[in-house]
Amino acid sequence: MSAMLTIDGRKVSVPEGTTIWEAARQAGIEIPVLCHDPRLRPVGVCRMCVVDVGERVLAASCVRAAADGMTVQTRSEKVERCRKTLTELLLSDYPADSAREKTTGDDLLLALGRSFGVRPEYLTIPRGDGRARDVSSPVIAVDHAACILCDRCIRACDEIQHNDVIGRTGKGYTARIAFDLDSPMGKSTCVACGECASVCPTGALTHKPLTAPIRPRAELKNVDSVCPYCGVGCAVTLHVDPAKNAVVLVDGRPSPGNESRLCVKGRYGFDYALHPQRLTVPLIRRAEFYPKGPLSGDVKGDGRRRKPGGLVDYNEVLPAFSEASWDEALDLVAKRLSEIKKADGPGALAGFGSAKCSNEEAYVFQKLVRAVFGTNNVDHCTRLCHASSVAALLETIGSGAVTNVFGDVKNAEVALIAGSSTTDNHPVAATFIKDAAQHGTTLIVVDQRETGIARHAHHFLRINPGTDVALYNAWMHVLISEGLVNREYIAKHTEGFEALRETVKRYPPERAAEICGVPADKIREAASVFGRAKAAIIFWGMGISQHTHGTDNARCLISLALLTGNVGRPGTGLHPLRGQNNVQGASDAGLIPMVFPDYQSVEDAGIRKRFEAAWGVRLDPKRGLTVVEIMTGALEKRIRGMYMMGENPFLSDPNINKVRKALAALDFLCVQDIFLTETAEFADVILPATSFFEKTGTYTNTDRRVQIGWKAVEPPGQARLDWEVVSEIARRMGYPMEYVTAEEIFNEFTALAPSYQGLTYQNLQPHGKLWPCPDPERSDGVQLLFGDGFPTPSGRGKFVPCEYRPAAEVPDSDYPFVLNTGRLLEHWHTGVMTRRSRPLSTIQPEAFCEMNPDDLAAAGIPAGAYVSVSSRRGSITLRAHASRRIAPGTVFIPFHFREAAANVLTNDQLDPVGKIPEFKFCAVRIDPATA
Amino acid sequence: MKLRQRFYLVEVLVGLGVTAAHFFANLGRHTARHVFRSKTARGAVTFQYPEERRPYSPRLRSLHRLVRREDGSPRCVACMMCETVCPAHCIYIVAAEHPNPEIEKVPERFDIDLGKCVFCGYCVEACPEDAIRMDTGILEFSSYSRQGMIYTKEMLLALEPAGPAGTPRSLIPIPADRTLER
Repeated sequence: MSAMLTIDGRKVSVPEGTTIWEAARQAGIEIPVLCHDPRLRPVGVCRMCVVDVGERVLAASCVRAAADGMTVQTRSEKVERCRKTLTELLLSDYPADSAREKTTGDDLLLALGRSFGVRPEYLTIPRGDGRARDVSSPVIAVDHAACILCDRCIRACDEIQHNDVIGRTGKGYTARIAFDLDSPMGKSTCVACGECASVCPTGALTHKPLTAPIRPRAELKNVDSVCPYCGVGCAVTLHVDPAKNAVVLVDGRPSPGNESRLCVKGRYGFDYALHPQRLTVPLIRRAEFYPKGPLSGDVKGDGRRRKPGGLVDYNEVLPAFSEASWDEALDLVAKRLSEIKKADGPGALAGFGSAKCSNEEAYVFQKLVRAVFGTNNVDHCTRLCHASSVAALLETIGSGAVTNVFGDVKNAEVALIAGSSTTDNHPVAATFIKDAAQHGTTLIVVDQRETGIARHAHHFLRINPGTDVALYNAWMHVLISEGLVNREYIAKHTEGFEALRETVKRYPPERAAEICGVPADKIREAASVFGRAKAAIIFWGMGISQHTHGTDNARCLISLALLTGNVGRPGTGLHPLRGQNNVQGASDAGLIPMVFPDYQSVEDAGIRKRFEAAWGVRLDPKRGLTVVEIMTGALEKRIRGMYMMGENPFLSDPNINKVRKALAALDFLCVQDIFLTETAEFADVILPATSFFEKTGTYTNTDRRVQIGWKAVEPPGQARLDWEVVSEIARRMGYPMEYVTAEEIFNEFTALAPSYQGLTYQNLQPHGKLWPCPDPERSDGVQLLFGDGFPTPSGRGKFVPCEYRPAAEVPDSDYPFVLNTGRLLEHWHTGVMTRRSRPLSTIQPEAFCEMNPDDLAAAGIPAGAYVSVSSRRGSITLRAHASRRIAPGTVFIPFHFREAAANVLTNDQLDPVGKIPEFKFCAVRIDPATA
Repeated sequence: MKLRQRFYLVEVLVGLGVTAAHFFANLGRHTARHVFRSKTARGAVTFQYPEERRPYSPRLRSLHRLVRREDGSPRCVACMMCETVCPAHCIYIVAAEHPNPEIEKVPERFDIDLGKCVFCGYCVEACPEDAIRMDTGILEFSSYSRQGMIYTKEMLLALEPAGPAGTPRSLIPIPADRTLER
């Protein structure tokens, strides 16, 4: 059904139920609004959009549905008079200096005032005596006097971000927006995502300037890019002040991935690139600072308590290095690496790439290691994040990537979130999950912590740490015994069902209840909710993967999906939420020791021949070493020379005390980074690299969406592009690598990676494409994979039954607590970027551990006091916070903080398949800190 | 206390005397009226409240009601005047679009927290639509919880104006927490 109406004499036909405002917009007629935004539920509070439809009163076009035969006048004299009066009334109490007009210069109310010729100073309406300002938030300024109570921020907070922080309070003149129960914004539960400030039409909620003064939008250069933080890969528009060479403001960009939404890191975490500690010249270690070792107190780990907010103290570290020219530094790197290769063989070299770098840089880097170093010892932090998930996915369904995008959760009847604090780690993906949970998707959350997403869950199962296998085996037991499996799907698309059935038979819910600490009835209930769903999607995070049985955990989740046929249809799928902005892409580009780009095995002679032909050298036929194996190798002197591009293993790898020895044991270490990292203290040569905003490249997000981030600002000092540096080193080691642009590298990469076939910089604009993309000119790429069979040798998905195994180090009387590590919303991994971002480190300035208040009380430690947390591998001192979201007997420590690095404590035992260390489980002891 | 007051017996007898004096005076007046047909004697009578009520002044401010239009929808246009003027901050209104395009708005919620209301009548004075009145004659509202003191739009809309002499014509709303099946 459609409605025919006439707007300002123009005939418009729209589907029934469309509002007049929307219909007018389709006809190209702009009706002014203050309270309405197409992304929000219309409420019609401001009445600025009134139009004349020939009735007694004017109709608010944003809420009034278009009717057949309606005649609408949007600009009649009566309408204009009404709007003008409204504007006058609103402006009568408007502050003289709107914060929005002073910054972005797009104050909607003042613009309306100008268009109607209303000058606030000449209004005869008496003014009020002013309302309060609130500047308690580090990123958002609140001016209640400029608020017109349009409710945009309230709806943005409730309906877009689902944080439910903003509401209304007060009556009459004192009516105002309120945070929580009328707390100051900075003290409320606000997560500073900035969605409210970005939708506010007036100067009431505005972004505070972070790097340089925010100038009117028209004076700033807009650069399309993506967010440099997590795997959600939000599309952003960077607003750049060319005179200051600085990004001053970031807005979300409408893209299928994030629909303009951003989180605190994406919106406000960009100022790290301008930090004065940026490296600007190549550095070479002075002769007197050999033999190598840590330079600063923090990295030495002498046990003294560090002051919070610690960054690398440049005064401690820089004297050990002398400035050098690029030629000197690059020659030295090439010479030393060639020497080691000659003396000890290619296997003595290794490289760590980074999932923070672009696909192009990852590709060039692995090419350097494989073709020039002549070894497969190349890895990156995927090993520490989803290596086990990828191993399990490759083994069972033949592809390591997600089978469906996270946004499709809206079509799911049930969504299972396992071991993922989505609201902290993938905040924007979490908004879509919360959205779905409010609109009919049943949310099941399984975690050992009561995470932020658990608040939105319909079923929350708090399991004992590391008991996932038992739980999901019990689920499958219930599904099979209650006949909730999809027999047709199992027969057609899978193999190994009998073996699985035999295994899960041994896991009745009662047994799992004993192991997991979840009542058997709850296990049954959740399992049958999952089993009865017509479409169920599974998300998982590090809580699944970072275990010595991480691969088993992931196998169980995959079996669960195969058992119920929940793959390859809308609203179904397997989605390991990827961590880094380009961890998917870096893995695709071959920064993995076992595979060439696009997961082509290095051990397959045919594939190797193809790459040998493309690269013109002989390649190593053996799979290389993984991250933790390389560190162990360095300690055992099997690895002698290393090149690290943008990785900081000192803080990110488990068992730091071992890493410290390993890094010091290296004969040669070249670190290429934007800041002096903890790892750089062990370097022989430090090369200054470009930050995310200073380069062009493609990035692949967790959805497999390949997007371009364009260069926005010039690099500081002599800092150079990462791929340029890599190809310089290659050339100096006798392998010609001549690239002029990143695009050229991308084209070489896509030619070798079948999944990326057809993608070019041209067709990746503006929103990127999902790989695989058989028809890049017309389609957005394939969203649903494996609707019909899997890319395994048999074409079937494989059930891999798993037995429950306890974690490698279980608590005992000496070390009675279980340590769980993870991330915070405001910080990123080793904090190299986020701790140098003023807003982010203001919100979350110091290291802490979270414990159940009962445990703290039993230990006689007051909340907020310093405690010393020790494991068999080391000890750290940090503040203890009490939280009931933490289960008794467990401790949670975020691992971002160098002054109390959680990874001093963690266990470097590896999963036998995925080679991922057990970050999520080790035994620790808590003592009150001594002075 | 004086010594006499400390012996309660004396004071009890004094009190009994007062009661007895009233009792016999009234007995006399009733006898005069009913037996001797006196026109002037008026003995005191107990009102059989709540079955029987005193007549109220038409100016009395009793429980609010929302005035209905002919189609039963509230006359209120959610202009927030009453909410703004209310000194006790006891009115809470959420506005919505009226289904009839000739009328702009209608309250989606209209709550009065009688636990806060001071019965000043400002809301009635402020209303430009004569949509709220305090003429139900209902003075009895009680509940076991604060929540029960919040009267919603539906409850307020169902009320009728009081009859002559201020007799309520609608049932006294019983909040959910006072119903028997709990």
